[in-house]
Amino acid sequence: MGTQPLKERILIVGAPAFAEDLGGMFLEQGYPTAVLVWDGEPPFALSPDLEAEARSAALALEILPFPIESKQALIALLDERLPPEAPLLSLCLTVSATQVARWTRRPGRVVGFAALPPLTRETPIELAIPLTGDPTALKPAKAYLERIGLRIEVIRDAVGMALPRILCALINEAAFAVMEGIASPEDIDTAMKLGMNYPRGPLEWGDLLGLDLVVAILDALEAEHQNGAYRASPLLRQMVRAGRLGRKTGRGFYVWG
Amino acid sequence: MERVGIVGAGTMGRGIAYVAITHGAQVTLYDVAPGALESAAAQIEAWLREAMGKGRLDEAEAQRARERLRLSTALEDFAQAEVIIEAAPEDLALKQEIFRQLDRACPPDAILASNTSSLSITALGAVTRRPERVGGMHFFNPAPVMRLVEIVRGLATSEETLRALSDLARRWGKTPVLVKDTPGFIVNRVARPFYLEALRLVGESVADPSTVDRLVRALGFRMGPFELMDLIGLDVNLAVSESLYRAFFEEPRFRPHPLQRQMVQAGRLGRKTGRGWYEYP
Ligand SMILES: NC(=O)c1ccc[n+]([C@@H]2O[C@H](COP(=O)([O-])OP(=O)(O)OC[C@H]3O[C@@H](n4cnc5c(N)ncnc54)[C@H](O)[C@@H]3O)[C@@H](O)[C@H]2O)c1
Repeated sequence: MGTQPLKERILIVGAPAFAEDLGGMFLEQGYPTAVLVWDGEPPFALSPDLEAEARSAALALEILPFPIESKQALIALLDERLPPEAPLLSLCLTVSATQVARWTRRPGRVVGFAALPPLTRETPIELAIPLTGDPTALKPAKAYLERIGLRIEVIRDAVGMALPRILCALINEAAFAVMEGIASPEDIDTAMKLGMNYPRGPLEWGDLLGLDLVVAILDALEAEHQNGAYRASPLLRQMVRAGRLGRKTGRGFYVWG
Repeated sequence: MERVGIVGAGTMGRGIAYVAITHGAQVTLYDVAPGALESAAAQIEAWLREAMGKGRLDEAEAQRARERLRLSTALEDFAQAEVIIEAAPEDLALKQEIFRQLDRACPPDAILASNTSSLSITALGAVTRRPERVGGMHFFNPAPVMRLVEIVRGLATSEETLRALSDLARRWGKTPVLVKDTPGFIVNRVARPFYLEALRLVGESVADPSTVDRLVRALGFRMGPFELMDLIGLDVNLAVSESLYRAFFEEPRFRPHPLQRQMVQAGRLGRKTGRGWYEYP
């Protein structure tokens, strides 16, 4: 038996749980993977390894859902240091891939992706190339993600992609219902599970995603469409202000142990 | 043991009657259309046999259930009823007329409940002399199978009425949830974005229906929005969308999608016409 050929180096930079989960999947498949965690709060304090890791990466994944200024700074940094041919996958929940490409000098190597935390191997991943992008960049990006066992669907680039948009609209409607006092959060979730066979109640889902992320996605959709259809429930905003973001802070619509 | 009157022996009325008689209630099932009661009785018999076949009921239990069912074409037969569940066609004027008649025919302390999916419980209670004893009891189709019942609180509905209806649902093996009388209650309202966002995605050429369905199923849903629209019927789905949009005074979140209407105009109503978003040869 010969030694395994060395696999390409993968660089993952971004939000804590998300980046680590994805990094774990690449490591399991034997990819030398660097995971650099940043929650997007300034100042930008990434490990000094970023410089070196970026220069030797064959693929980079940027997974910072928000704030947008931090995301842009991170993308610019990766754009400067990555080898010119390396695909740059950017998590596009609150911006389009076309917007991300615009921040770089490599629009042809940018691919947008959407996935909702918590990330598991069952999580479906949506990929989209920017309007200015190159369809050939899609192939390696898709291949890497398929090799770590993820399910891929290719869609056309748009803010919020497909699933984040459907799910956030559901969560928002349920949040309006809570705000208006029409039913308790428990009864709303029970009704949707028993009446519609939903795998989870929308409010429980909001708590799992993080209500700050839900509001950020709704705000991005409302800014894009400007039609009132994505107006976030004021209750969601109040909960974000109160730090009741869901599971990650111990309390959202539910109390998490 | 409760004495229950059911108005309308259609899809829902017969399903609710089956649930009631198999959980110990004495049921008077009332309808005005010729043949409706016979057809309901035959369906209930078929369900009883199916339950026996699966070992969920024995012969003695099935026989007792049969004996608890009484068919009627006269509202006077409700004179002893404790709870009435109205499951007549979804038409406010018709239901209000039925509630006026029920108010006269039933004992003054009887609870009058409606199975309406989209009409105002408050507007039904308002035509009676007992609005505090009028509430919603919204079962889901098929009633013998679906565990959820939305218990709807009209503006005048009393706590006692809500408690009585919730307890009844629990005794019948159902899970009640409590909801204020508002358009679409919980399920028909909160499920709206599931369809509307999917339609907007297709309308904007972000993805095609089968891609959206695959993604949604991968997230753990049993069916994608387009498959589900085909099952429900695109005409029915459009009617619910339009009714909610009107009821919320044109709130943009509920705006129906032109694609829905176009599919209905083309007669592509889903499974029942052999074609909707998908083909059913
Ligand atoms: N079908 C569903 O999926 C569903 C689900 C939940 C709630 N609902 C609601 O349940 C109610 C009934 O719906 P359905 O699907 O059973 O309708 P249906 O058309 O199958 O049955 C209605 C029955 O009412 C009878 N009827 C008509 N006028 C009457 C009158 N004046 N007095 C007594 N009976 C009369 C009809 O003959 C018919 O048998 C509606 O309010 C509907 O919105 C329906």
